[in-house]
Amino acid sequence: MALELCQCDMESDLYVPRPAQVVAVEPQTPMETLVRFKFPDGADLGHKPGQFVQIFIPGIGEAPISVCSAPNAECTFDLTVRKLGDVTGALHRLQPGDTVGIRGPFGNGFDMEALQGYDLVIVGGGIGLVPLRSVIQYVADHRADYANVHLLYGFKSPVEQMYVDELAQWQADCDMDVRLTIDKPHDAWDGHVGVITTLFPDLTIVPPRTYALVVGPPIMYQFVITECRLKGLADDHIIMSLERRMRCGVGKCGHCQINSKYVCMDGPVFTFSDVKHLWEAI
Amino acid sequence: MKSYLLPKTQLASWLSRVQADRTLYAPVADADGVLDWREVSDPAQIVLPPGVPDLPVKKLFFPTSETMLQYAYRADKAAVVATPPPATPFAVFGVRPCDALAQQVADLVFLGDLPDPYYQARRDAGTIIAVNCTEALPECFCASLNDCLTEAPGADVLLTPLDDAYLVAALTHKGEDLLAATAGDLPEATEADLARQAEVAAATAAAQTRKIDMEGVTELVRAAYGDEDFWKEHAEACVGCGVCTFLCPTCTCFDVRDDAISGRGQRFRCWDTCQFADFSQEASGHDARAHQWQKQRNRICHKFWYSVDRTGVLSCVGCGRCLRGCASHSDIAATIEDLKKQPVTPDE
Repeated sequence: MALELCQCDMESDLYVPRPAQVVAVEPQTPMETLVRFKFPDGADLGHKPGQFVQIFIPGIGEAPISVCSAPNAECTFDLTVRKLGDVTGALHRLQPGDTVGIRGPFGNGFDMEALQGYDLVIVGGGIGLVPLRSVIQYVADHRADYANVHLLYGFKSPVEQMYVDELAQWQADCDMDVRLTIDKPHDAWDGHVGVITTLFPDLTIVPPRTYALVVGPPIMYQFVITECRLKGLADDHIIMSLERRMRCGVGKCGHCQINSKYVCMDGPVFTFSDVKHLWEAI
Repeated sequence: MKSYLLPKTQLASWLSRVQADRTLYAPVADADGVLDWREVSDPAQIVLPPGVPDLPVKKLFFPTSETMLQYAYRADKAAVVATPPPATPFAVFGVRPCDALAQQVADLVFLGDLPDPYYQARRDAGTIIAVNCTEALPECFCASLNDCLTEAPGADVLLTPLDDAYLVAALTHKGEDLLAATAGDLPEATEADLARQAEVAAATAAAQTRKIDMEGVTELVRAAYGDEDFWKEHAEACVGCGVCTFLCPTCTCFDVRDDAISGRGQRFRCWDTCQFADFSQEASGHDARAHQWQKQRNRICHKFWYSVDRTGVLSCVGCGRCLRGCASHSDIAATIEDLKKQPVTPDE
């Protein structure tokens, strides 16, 4: 599908999507697929790791999706989408050459410069790895700027593992300590078995020089944050990205509000010290 | 800024001059007798009730539904046209000071660093002509919360009823321009008339039977957040209809939806409410405010706490519509009163 945008004479493009073309589709699991986009004029999205976009499919609707790639010279950006609703279902049917509408990038993203020189413990549960992939790619691209990098990735069963080749590459070529675990034993798996917190005991963390970056389902946060604190990490060294229902992406519609914060504007990336007093956060 | 005296007998002719260059909106009774904000062709249609009209004036700046994109699509091609914001000049007459203030509160959400183009266009195109209250409804409690009766922040022009005339004052440059074009032949108000304005405001404030001490209300609400029993008790009868938020002049949450059929579609936004079941539910099914008592707590915390954190002002103006409209007699003012009787639990 091609998409023409007859832009009216509007001073503000807050709510106007711009066309982006699908350049590649890479199925990851039966539920998740990665779609790579590029703007026809070659413009860069201009995003930071951890930011999100609103993606629009004419005839279907719009949905907020994390950008899962780091800024790159080709000016492409990736979205990995789980098939759940109307828009995400339609995203799974996209083919190279198709066009969608994009608004954004929105949100604060991870402050990658502030993390320079530190050890990183990156913890992804299930599709929580998706937004973290933008961080991991960024770190791989600027590897000398960061010290030891541990990546802990937990998923339910082998078939649900995403980014299989990249994980091997990050381990082999990017000097990253990649540790995988699945929730329950499986015939096709000879690696570690157990929930993601079972990867923590073997991990050596030097708290003052370490940041943990944690993204996963709501239930995972309380257990992983507890492990991080037991390892001695301060609350402002535990960084997370929160999911919320969103509509506008620009702090107006109210859907993503948690207590006094708007996830689309103040987040989605927060430190645990930012949100530990927000009862509705996790 | 200049103030004038408009004999009450000349109100209709002045409004005719106002509507010569712009559309005029005012409270008009619909078929069911509900006072809604409608375009006025004849000033005789206007109904100025005691207290606020049934519906809030926000719909003129933030319509219940508005189109943002229109598009045609087929399997291989789509064409999208962004809907430009409207710019037809209008004036709205008969806005009560609490509603004018509420629009200023809504400005803090819609304008600022990322101005909403639709709201901005309507705010720029619209002139608010407020008319001060001389009576209070049982539900009114603005005087407990703010100084809208005396200062009318958010209004461009303020009319205060004196004996047989209105004191007409411009409060903004927009209001000044309107009066320069429509009130030049009216006598200027005297110092004595201006003094009467304060007396009228004070008398209206005194007539409000609902008086609540709002001292420290933000801290009070913050401290009570974790008191689940309190919120459950106060939301027990709530059916989640959301009328409290739709009637609220400062509630501005909206949904964005696509309506598409047979190759044609539109993206529109429409009023939404934190009281509805799926408002904060994520795609995963997780909902931080799944229970109705959590949704009601959110509404009250937003008015008296979250709004203060984000914008520095309360987002309750005391118009009383939410408690007038609630089918289960939820009363935001009484809730605050009850909170004061609660033992204070320390912040976590």
